[in-house]
Amino acid sequence: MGKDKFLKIKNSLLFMRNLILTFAAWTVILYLIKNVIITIGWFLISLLWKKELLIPQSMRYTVYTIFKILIYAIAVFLTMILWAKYNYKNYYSKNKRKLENLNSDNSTTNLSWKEAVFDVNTKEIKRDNSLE
Amino acid sequence: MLHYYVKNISDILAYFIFFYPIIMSIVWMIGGLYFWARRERKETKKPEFNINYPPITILVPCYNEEKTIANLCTRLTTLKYPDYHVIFIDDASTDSTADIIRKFVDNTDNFHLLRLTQNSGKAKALNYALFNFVNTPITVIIDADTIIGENSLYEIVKPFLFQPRLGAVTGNPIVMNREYFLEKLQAAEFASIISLIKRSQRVIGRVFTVSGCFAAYNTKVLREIGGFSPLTATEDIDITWRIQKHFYEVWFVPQAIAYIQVPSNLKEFFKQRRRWALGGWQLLRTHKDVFTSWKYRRLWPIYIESILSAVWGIAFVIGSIIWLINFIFHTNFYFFVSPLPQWYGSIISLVCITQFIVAIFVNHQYDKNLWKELFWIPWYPLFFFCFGALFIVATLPKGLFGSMEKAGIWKSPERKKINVSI
Repeated sequence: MGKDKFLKIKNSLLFMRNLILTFAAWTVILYLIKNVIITIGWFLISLLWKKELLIPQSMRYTVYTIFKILIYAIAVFLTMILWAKYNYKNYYSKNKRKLENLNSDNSTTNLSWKEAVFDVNTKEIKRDNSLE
Repeated sequence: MLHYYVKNISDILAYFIFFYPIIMSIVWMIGGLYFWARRERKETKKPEFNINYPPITILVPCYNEEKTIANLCTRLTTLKYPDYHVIFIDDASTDSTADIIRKFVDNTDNFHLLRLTQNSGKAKALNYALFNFVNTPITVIIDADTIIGENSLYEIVKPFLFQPRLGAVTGNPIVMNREYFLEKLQAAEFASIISLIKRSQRVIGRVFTVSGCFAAYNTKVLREIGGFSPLTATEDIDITWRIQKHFYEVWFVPQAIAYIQVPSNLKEFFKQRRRWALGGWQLLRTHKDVFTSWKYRRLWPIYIESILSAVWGIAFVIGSIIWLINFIFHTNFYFFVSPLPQWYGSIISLVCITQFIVAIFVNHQYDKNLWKELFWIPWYPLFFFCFGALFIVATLPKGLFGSMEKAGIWKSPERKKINVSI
């Protein structure tokens, strides 16, 4: 009887150990897969840059293109500054279509129901659970 | 002669496919940085509590949201905002959504449950509540799978107190589920594309869309323009355009954080992107009057950008098909685009990675772990450029010529049950 009990405990401990080891193994496998995917991505992109951008034949054209992109970026930046200044002077400062000040309406009517049913065909409201 | 014109047009299209993403990426990066320098650099993280904030009504449209609704209910009970009601609109859910909400409604004074007798779609559900029950000057709409930041209500309402022509304010969606590859890529996309686009559009002056998951509206403006349109697959884009066509402002407030769920598997992801692409076409169709009037000229830049994005997608797909034909049959058609990246692709990838680094920089104060997604970025252009272009082409016939009568009724992507501690 004592031996059976001992075997039972031993088996359950073995089961627990196997479960933990399986879980740990899968965690490691998934972690490795994740890192392999990341590595492949960066490897492919670095290969592409090395093959296309960093070879002597295309180096000049690459640098020239990046320079053009930088010039364009500066132009966009300056345009945005001017546009923002123009907007501030000719648009926001006038604010022709003003809405009412929200602070004037600071009280709200509490809804008198907790649960309501809205019939979408008749457009009627049925209140199930009134607070009143 | 014909040969000459075909060659010229082919060259123009090929250059357009290469330069368009770069041109737009630079605009987004510079716009994002400019907005950050002016509106975020000196902003403190804590909102101003000494202002007299107006009362608000929060509308939460729900359809079969049993997995996520309890999280949102819990968060809504702990908000610090001084005066707010919450109306949950159960759009005839077939699961236990209403029962879960009811438990919270019974125990919370400012919670209310509105049940619809028939599934009507998000736009109609919101309109029923808006026109019958909202009695506050500000209406906030939160999706059922979204969790807002503790101070987000303050942040999203504050601009209404200072800008007298503000129609809507949109929050800053941050992806909360980042377990799998697809989720990680979408987290990067939301930060590097969507949030930078919104910032730069604010600098330009008009916003393409509010985030449907978390946005605040001036209730009077919403009613004036007739509420949400059920005749489109993307009611958030449509409402943004109609508000701006009525000459009200739409602002983006990055401090108003909303944590959202993105699709976890390809099936749900495709469904969502198909709907977005369809909504884009429907927008071009329903708001084509933007070009007939000089008074809408401030909307022209974002309308033209939408058209160019669509043209880019179509040109990319056609160019890739011709490349495939050339490759298989050894033909020699002029216009082709290699979907395998070469010199042009490597320049685009360089710009794309720079854009993500800019996004990490401007979003760092709201999302400290965003840098981790940088590792996944090399996969991003290949994945999203190709799928984005394919969906634009696939939805073109339905978007431009199909019926829009039931476009507003759609199912949300499958949700995951998440225990949130934000």
